Amino acid sequence: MNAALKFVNENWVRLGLERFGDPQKLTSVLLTPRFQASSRVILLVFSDSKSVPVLAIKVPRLEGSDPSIESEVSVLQNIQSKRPGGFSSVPK
Amino acid sequence: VINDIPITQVNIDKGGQEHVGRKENYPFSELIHIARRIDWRFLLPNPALGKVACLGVKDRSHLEALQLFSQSLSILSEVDLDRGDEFGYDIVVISGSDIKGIQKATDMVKPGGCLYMESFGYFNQLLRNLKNDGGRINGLHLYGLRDYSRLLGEQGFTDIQFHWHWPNFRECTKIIPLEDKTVQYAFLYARRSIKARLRSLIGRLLLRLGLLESLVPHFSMIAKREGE
Repeated sequence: MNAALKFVNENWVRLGLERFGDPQKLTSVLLTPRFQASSRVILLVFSDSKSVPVLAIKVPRLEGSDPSIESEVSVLQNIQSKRPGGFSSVPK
Repeated sequence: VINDIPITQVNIDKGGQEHVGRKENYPFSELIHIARRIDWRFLLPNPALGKVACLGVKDRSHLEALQLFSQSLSILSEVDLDRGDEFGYDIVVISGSDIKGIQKATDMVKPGGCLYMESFGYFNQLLRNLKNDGGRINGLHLYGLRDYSRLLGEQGFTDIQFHWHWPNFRECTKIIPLEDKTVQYAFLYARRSIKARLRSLIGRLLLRLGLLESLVPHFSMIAKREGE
């Protein structure tokens, strides 16, 4: 099991992911974008109960802080807070 | 050093005098570009590469990335392995699908460490041999994923995974586990056309029949050695 899946597995309950099934049966496709500004890889995580990815994990290729991903998190949280219950079409 | 392959054991230590081994000498964009060749490290239990050894790796960009992002890199030849020394590497990277090479490489992995192999599907290997060796098919191996799994299992390796690198190792944009669900998704990949569905169906069927690995041009294997 790769490091990202291990993290998700260990934090399954804390992250409120129980609805996606058994954390022991996770698998992932690794997307490795090659456009010039791409500094991250993306893991699309599949659970045993779904045939489409249930999670997307972005991991910086290099160690250290990643201001752009922190900014993305902030924007997504901001959008979700605009309406009670958030927006289903926007990543949570 | 990297260009002189094959060579007998060479250890490139980051703390040594090698100018090219220091990340601070590279601009960020170039560092990112180099790191792309070893995106496969995110498949490991720990993507931070420690003490790494290579066997049969000839791709210069791969070696350059490994040198830059590992604690130390040793480029070994089969002569080194024949000596039967104990090595104890965190990661052993091998290129090719020779069973004997894999058997030797497994001894070099420390308990808790990983073996990473890059190889070619049968038809890709056949084409490469025809192109590079003037039509000879010497050295062509016909091992399936089950053969590798059995061999590594016997050597005390667990968590054995196979991945399809699309479109190839150097320009890879997707690393797909050779499993039913992910193969299905990879063939469909956000497309719902009849053609995509048919491709997906055929892909999964080939996977179940054990034939997909023969058709997948570039695949890798990761296995963890028990003991930690």
